[in-house]
Amino acid sequence: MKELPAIADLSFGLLRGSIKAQDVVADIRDNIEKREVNINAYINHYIDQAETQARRADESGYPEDETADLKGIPVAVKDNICVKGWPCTCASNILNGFIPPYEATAVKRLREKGVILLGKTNLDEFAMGASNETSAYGPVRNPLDPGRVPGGSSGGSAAAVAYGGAVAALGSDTGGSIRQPASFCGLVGLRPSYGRVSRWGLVAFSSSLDQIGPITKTVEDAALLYSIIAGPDENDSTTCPQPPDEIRLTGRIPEGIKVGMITECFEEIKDSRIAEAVRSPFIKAGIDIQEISIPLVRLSVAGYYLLVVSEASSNLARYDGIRYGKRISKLGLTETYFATRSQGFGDEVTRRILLGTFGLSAGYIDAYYNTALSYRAELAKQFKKAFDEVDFLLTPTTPTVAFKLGEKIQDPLDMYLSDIFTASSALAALPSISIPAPDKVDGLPVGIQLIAPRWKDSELLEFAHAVEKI
Amino acid sequence: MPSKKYEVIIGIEVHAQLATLSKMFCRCAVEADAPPNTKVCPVCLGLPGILPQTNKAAVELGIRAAQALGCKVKPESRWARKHYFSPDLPKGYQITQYEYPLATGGELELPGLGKKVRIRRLHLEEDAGKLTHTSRETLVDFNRCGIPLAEIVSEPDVRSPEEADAYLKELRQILRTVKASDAEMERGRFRCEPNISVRPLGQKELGVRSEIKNLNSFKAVREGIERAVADQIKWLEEGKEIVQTTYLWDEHKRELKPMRQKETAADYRYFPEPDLPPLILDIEWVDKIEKQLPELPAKKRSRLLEEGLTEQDIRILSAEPDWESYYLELLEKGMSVKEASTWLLNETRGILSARGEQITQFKVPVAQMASLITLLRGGKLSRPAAKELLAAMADSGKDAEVLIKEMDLGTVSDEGTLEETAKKVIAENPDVCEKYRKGKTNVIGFLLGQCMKELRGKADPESVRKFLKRFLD
Ligand SMILES: [Zn+2]
Repeated sequence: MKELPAIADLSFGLLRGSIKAQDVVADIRDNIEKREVNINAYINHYIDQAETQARRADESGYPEDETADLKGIPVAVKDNICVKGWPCTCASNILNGFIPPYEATAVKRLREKGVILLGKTNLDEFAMGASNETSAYGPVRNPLDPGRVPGGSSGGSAAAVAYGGAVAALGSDTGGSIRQPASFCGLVGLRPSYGRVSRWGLVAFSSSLDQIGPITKTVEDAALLYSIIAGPDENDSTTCPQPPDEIRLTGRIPEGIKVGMITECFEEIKDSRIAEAVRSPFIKAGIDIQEISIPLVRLSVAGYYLLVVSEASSNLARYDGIRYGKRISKLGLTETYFATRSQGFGDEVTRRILLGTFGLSAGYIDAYYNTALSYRAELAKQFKKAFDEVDFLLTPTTPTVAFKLGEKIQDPLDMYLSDIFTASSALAALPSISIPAPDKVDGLPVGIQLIAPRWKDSELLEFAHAVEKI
Repeated sequence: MPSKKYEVIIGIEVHAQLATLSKMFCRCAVEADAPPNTKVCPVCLGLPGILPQTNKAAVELGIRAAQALGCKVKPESRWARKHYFSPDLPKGYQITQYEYPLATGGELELPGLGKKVRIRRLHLEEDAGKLTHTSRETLVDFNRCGIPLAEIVSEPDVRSPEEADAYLKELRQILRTVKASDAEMERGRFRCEPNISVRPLGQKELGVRSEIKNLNSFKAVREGIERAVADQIKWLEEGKEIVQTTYLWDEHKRELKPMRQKETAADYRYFPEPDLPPLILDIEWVDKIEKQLPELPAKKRSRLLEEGLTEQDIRILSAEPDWESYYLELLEKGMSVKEASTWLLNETRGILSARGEQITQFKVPVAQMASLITLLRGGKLSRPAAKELLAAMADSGKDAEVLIKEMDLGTVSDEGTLEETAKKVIAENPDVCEKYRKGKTNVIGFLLGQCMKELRGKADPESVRKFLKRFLD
């Protein structure tokens, strides 16, 4: 495998002329040709187009101004984020043949800064999964150990960056879908505050939780991509109208910083080596870490799934084969709906639509959906209280390192528990980042998750950058 | 109503298309009649990854309609999703308002019936597309999809088809007055769905509801309700169990076709729309909209009543904007309420209805009508002559002055002729004159009538009366 530079180094090299975008894209082609058949990170890649763009970028040069912030940087995009003119499959058969005539705001903003798009990466079908095994386009394998999963649902994005199929990638995170694969693949994954990055062009799974974010090699790269994709968008009424704060990466641990380890998370870890790996850099750097209890975190998987299946059942109602995507024509309308939806959706998606339809139906909505809503509000309050005492919260990103393919796919509940540390901050709309711990467990990466108060994305990146340097 | 043994309870839901230029949640033009699927975009087609954006103009019109109905506009309302599968509903749900509507608690006065109907709520939502069924296939047109609607729900205060008719006509008039909707029923921009239940007089609990959809005219509304009431009374008499049913009105057969019953009623699985934040209104903006409301129909009616119009005149005027504008122009030209009412609403209306014409086809301009009334007022024209003149003007479109000459309609003002006629009539009616002299002075009316007859109506009655009195007293 040909090692790719981080965005920051590549930009610097392009500017100085010591490196060419064409050469980087050529290396990516090489890596894709060697690894893709095994890893399956991309659903569609457009490496020929990328080569042409890289050549043009090199020819036109790299001016030292804002318009070329990310000029010549090859980035992959999760295939639930729309790129105008490229098929968008969401790794589902039901979207066969669908080509969006519009572009996601996040993608548009990257392109305006000169990013070269490489292709659309594999994912769990409609981002529903934690192992990237529910994709209609086949599972993705972890490049660090192909017998293991890369995590999900942004497994393709993480795997592509991990094996040198892209310099960085966009993923989407509903309850951990950026952070967990980043953790399993030894990368940095940022879930911005809900409302920081426009969801326009992101195919909805659970609208009140979905956020686009970067998966990168370094915190600095995550900050670079974040600062471009974040900010208000009139096309998404749920974006924050204020622009994000500026990010100053100094690498220094701020004086007197307090970090709270969420007791309920650390208690859940069966393998003490993971807890150790997460704690050790903080201890090494002499950072004040203290235990802090957020009792409702214990219920986060239950609360999270009640909400997401309900919203998913609504968001996925539109796939009926009438206007786009796959249609299985039968004599009657109802029969056509049945055939199209039962054949178009995979098992996990079907399970969630059924659960969600039930959870929203008359007579049950109070017990399920509405209960989950009040839970969510209470959980957010407990987080807020915790932030009165500490600046950041700390948990492992996942309870285990990357597990084996097939290990959990037969047991949905066990699979759902993969989100146990990531779901709660998503429910509370908080920015969270996963960065690789310096120590590995069984040779596999461990993720450190840091959580900040809402809208403190910039501080979170600044602190994570400093921790990364330890 | 057909029965004194039963009480009819009616509540009415109306969907009025708001008169915006663009749709509720996207920038597509509101042109439902454009060639199919030309006024669409990824938002109103519900394509994957696309989000709605609230059209402020639609919110403003909703606020205006709510205020005109006396509703309280909520500083915060919320969007919800209502789910059902239909090919004309591209997202599989409709964005509407459910638990937190835009406005609640208004009322509407039924003109002339001395009764008010309470309005439960007014909320905003998007329209669905339109299905066209051919013998072979069903076609769907999304031009209408996403057009803003105000749903206006009454309390069950309506008691008869006549009241329902009055309610709907007044509601339409209010929406038009504040320009919230053109409320054209025939074009589907004012769709009403009454729910009807019948209970024996004196019974406390409500009967079982029948709901009717697809009522495309006021006539259909009346007939549909009459039909539902008759059916329910029949079933009650027969002791049959009534099942809550939604019916479609069949315009051609003029009958109710059952569409679905309660057991199969849809569960819409309402839940908060996560793609749109709550609709939080700037109170100053809402107040400003209220201050700019034009004079509302009920207020105008009471003003006109004070100015001397009869309730019936007012009813005609409020139902027919073209008559109303003619009428108001007459007032502007200095005619009195009584004059305008007599000459427009009685005489002109009579002439036009005899000819089967509309006011818009009336050949007499307002100025000409005004000069006719002025001539009459000045005694230059007698009343019968004026009627004759108006008919001629309506026929030919010629000016009053021209026709008076042509038809020799001017008043006889020559004193000699008047004096002679009065003497003649007195001489011919000695017994009547005797009564007058004995104190029954009102018989002068008879003598006056005789004089006018002699003069073929072409005299100012007041001048004739003067002569009669002179000779009699
Ligand atoms: Zn549109």
